[in-house]
Amino acid sequence: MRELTRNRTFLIGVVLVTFIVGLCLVSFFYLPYDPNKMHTTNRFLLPNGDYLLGTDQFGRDILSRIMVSTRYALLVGIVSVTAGALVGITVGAVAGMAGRVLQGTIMRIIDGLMAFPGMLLALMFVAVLGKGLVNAVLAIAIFMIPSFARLSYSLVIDEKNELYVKAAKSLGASRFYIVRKHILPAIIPRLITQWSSSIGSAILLESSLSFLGLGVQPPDASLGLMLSEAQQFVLTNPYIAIPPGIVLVMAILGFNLIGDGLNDTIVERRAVK
Amino acid sequence: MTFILEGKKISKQFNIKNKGKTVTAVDGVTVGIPKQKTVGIVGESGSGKSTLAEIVGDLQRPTAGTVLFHGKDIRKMNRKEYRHYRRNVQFIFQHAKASLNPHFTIEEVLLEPLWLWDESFEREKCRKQIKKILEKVRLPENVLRKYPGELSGGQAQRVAIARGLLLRPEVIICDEAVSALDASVQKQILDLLKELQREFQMSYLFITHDMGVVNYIADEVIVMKNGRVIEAGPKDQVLYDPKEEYTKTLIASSFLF
Repeated sequence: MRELTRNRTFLIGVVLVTFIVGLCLVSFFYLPYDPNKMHTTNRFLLPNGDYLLGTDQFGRDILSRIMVSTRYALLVGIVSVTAGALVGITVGAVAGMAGRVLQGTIMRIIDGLMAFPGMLLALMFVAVLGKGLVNAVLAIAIFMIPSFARLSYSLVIDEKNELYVKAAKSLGASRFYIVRKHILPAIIPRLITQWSSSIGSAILLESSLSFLGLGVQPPDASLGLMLSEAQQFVLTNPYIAIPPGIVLVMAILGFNLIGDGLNDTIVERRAVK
Repeated sequence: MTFILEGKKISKQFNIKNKGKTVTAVDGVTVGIPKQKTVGIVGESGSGKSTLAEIVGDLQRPTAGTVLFHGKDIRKMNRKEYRHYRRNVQFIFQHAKASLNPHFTIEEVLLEPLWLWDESFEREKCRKQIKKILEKVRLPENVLRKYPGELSGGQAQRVAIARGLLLRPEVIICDEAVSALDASVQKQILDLLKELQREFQMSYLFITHDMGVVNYIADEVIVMKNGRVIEAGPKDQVLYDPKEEYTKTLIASSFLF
């Protein structure tokens, strides 16, 4: 813990994520304006006393829209990564403990899935399932499975060679018991690291899908959607792209930095041991 | 002679990855462990003795050969018989500390075999059992709250022995069990093992590269080299009247004689 609080990468990440989570939490109690209400007389306002971050092409308050957007970003990020991680970790652990044939089969399938670029995979699923928030979550979750499976597989294989695992086996422990009591507790810190970094990429993926009009649907607000709408006015009113862009960068960077910081301290500690 | 645990014509080959070569670690070795006796296997490192021990204890599968427990092939056992075998053949490893999960307290380490085997697991009853065993291996009760990292090598080995003993096995396979310890601690552990053998009527398969240790504890000795048995027989015959040149070299190069 001490090492973590001294790790600057981790701390910057925490500050950024806290800011985003703060925006999201506040949005449930207080919004400056109705995020979907149009004020046709107040279009394209720059930041001022009434509209802290200005207004967009329909005169909607950008700050309110960003605050609501963070809900989707965090929801999609956390839910899809957690779901993908649970499936991936299980698959990886099963492969790690299985016999040679099953192990080979599972890992080749995972390799195959990994060969797809994330965006392509997500697009494919949205094409099959249809657009919308739920399907975006599903697509991102499926995209997350292979990387978690790979990681948990290699960690399980590594941990399996520990002498205390051999000792547990000679005591008569079942494979399930060994995974649950000996292997999982040992590898969970590394999995949490991956979980945190993945949330960053999931948020990016959600924004990309929304940008393409496949994720969150208008008139609801999502960071990707706001960027996509701003794109049409980039020559006349470039300002409106800036706030959602910055917030998106902060969210992605924040989760990635937390992951990196955790990784530094955990990997370092293991190396010392 | 009848054996409790027996390995018949055990062979084990490893495929070296990406090279298409195979290495024979164990080559048709037969070993039998009689009741309440200690069979010592000696050989230099790489002679296949540890692989043989792990095959006999079913931690590795042999390429060829059979392992018999009370005369029955362990691969042909039903579930119940196999459980009986698993429980009655326990291991003690060279690196005792590494064989204890670093995140478990010693109490948790010792509760584990009971948890795995006692269907009506009662914590209080098991605690009593653990305390009794600690006395047998001469460890103070305060080790229970410690983690493996806080123990000395000798203490960790005693914990490992206690863990094996809790299941009252018929055979304990000691894989270089004292090799990592100081000479004085080695003797304490060996004396302890001898004493426990008498008390619980156990058999040992004792793997070591140390002729002195074999001389001290074994009843029968098997000398291995490059996966094959060079010489085997009662201790007095093998150590004091060796027939094979290799055995003589091994003895000459040890501190013992």
